[in-house]
Amino acid sequence: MKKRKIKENMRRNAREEWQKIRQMDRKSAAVYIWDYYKLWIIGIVTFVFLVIYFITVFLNRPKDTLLHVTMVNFYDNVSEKSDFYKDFIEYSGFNVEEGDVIFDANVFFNLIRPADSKSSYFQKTIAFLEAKTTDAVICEYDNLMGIGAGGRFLDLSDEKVKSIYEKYQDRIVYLAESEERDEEVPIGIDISDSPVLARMNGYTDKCYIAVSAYTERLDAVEVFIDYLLS
Amino acid sequence: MESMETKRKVTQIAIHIILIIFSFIMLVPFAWMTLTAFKSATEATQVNPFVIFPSKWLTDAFVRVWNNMNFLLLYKNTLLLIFWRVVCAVLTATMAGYGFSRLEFKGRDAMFNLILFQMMIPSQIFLIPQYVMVSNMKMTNTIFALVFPGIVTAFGTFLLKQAYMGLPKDLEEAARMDGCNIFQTFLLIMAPLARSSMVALAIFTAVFAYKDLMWPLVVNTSSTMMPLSAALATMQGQYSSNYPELMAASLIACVPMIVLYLIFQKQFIEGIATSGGKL
Repeated sequence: MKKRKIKENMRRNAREEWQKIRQMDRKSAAVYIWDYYKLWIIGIVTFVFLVIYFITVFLNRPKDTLLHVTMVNFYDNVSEKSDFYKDFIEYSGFNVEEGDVIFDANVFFNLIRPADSKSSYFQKTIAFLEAKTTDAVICEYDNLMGIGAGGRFLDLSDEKVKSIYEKYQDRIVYLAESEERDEEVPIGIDISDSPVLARMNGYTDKCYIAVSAYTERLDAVEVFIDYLLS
Repeated sequence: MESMETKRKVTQIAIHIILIIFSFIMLVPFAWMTLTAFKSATEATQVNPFVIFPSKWLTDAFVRVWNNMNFLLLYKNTLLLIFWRVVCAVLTATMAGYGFSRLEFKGRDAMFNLILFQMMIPSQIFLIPQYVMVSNMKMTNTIFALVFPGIVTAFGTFLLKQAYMGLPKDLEEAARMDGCNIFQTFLLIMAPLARSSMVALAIFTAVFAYKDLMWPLVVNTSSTMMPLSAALATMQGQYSSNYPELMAASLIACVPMIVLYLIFQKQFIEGIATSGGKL
């Protein structure tokens, strides 16, 4: 009963308001509307803008990548214009569009320094692993062990990566036993002698590749490891 | 009497000397950045500490950096980031602050304590869950992704709550008696009176959005969607030893903030005084 009364009141007010505006000339009507309804106008325009924006972003949302590799402390060009990228695409035979394969070398940290575990780049690497953005990480020993200790790298003895394990058995590096682990866990593959990396201004020290524990693109990772050691 | 006057003068001089020394310390990094931008790469890395000014004022670094980086795009991204963060923070904090200070509802204090608790946790803790959320929404490399963590602000809510609590309740009661409902009382009476705190919050949000590095670096990896802070960070790999270029880019990146500061100087100082914070 009360609700109906409120509705009727609102309708009557709206009718009266509309009659009032109709009696005004165009300019006064515009001034009146702006004076009394500017917040509503701004609100509605913002709302419409946001709806259009989100629809546009949703329609143009990035598709899933074929491969995303994080290269920690790697000072060379690995962008889509680089020889490294082109060479890998040719080797892999992937039919790629822009953004399908990403090599991210904009990551710099060294976990031998405790302060680096709070750095933006380290946080970025962890976030990328957790969100299944990154499929594999190339880094030096200390970083490999540091990230691996958090359980974010795949145990290479897992059935899912049996073929990688068998192929590169002699290159495997292990995460040492600890209070949390009863036995050593194979988490990385030594790629220090990679002919591809040797041609680049990459690592001066030993380097390793590890597979993300959350990746769903193991086939692409395997192709990439094969490429690095081919 | 005279000795009192002398003592007062000596104290004044001592205070001024201390302030000048601290001002000098604060200005040294900025001066170093400016001077290095005009040096050659060799001169910039020279170890001799007495070479302060460039032997020859070169503008090559500015030209190279301007040509290599799309600064107009970076400015656009940065300004959009600042604009939307300020709009969202002020809008949500104003309403939440009013709710927490003036409205009675179940669990109000517990909810406010939860907000205060959030202010005590380092922002890094939120980075991974926030990135996972944005990534699952498929919204990475968008302006929305940059704005996302700033849509609501615990600090802003706290600041605005304190501002509303300082306003007399009589105003609200008068508004109610004149027929205003809760929303009208808030919008037409209370919010305009908290304007100085809103300005302070807007300034704080703008400065923090401008210098925010960690979140943009994580969430927007595409060079076309980065703000200035993240784009400057990417120069580390490319120009790790070229200080003049790095400093020239930093100087160019400072321009919008310097312009904003010059325009809103009065509000900046009032904002700091109102909130008792530091930028």
